Amino acid sequence: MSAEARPASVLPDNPREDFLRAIAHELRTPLQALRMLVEVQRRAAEAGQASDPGLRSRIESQFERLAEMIDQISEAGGRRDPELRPEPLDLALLLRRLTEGRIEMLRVPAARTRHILRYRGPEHATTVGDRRRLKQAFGNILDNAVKFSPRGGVVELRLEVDPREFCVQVRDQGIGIPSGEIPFAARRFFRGSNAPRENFPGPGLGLASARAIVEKHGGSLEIRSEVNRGTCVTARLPSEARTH
Amino acid sequence: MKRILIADDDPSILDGLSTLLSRSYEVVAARNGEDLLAELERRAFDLVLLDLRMPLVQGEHAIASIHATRRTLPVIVMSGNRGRIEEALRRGASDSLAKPFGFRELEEKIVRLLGAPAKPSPPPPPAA
Repeated sequence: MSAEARPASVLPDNPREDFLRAIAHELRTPLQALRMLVEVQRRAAEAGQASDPGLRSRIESQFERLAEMIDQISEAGGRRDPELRPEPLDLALLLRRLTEGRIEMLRVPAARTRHILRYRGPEHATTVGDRRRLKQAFGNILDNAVKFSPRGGVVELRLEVDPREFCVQVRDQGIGIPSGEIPFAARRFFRGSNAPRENFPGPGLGLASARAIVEKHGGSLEIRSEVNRGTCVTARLPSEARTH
Repeated sequence: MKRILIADDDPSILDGLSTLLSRSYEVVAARNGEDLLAELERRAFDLVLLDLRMPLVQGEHAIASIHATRRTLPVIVMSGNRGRIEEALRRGASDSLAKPFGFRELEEKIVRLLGAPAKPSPPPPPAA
């Protein structure tokens, strides 16, 4: 489809400036979080308190968030496919830990809005794939589900295994995507017309990067959505290792 | 103890700020503009720390709502966007912080607006 035929929401007015501003914001957010979390750790150490493993893992998550963003920016800028380093892995364990990590990251005791994140699926499901990149792909999908559910709600990550494929589904109760825009939602720089940048910052790379990673593993990504009801992103990965 | 309302959509920033400020202040956190306005209806605050980019209600609109009924409530805005900070100051924000800022900078601004926080009460003397 030509650029002219795309809905206006896919193409920003000033693409370069818009993109650079969004990237700057994306990088500042984990940096700001790091400054605060490191300060919490420094003050705890000064007070002679024992090191908090939860806090340490939150700090590590912010570093990972920065590294993943840099990968996404560099691949989007060079229009490169993600590079994979396949290895045997337990996909169920990866998804479970990813969900647990996000639950820990979303824990803000003083806040009223709550997201309920849960994993549904088998305890174990072994396959071959790039652990880091799959974590990044499903992390992006989970983060989008949370971000576009600003009033909270349930975000469920489900894994189903059959002899041919693994089916990973992330379902939220968020603002959804207008039906005419769904075919473009996993393209770079996509922004739904119901998600203005002033309220939902971000350069629009997360879902595109997730799709590229899933496809590079020989899989596919499908999006179903209804405005104000929620979105369901389904990734299908072949159960046999077919990374390419 | 003075009460501060913090609004930011990033849970890690919100958690870090809440943890640090709760040593000297009572802290309430809001993850979107709707929660911020609901908390303001629910109880009185001495200061609002506001991220300008938030879901549901933008920071600039939140400032207008705050000042419509609570003209003297100080608001410190946080943003990485200089243009939006300037606009927020024009609309009545008391002060601003450019992300990523350090906690000491924030502490100084709060003290300037609220005065020094009350010292936590000393632990009771050991029983004889």
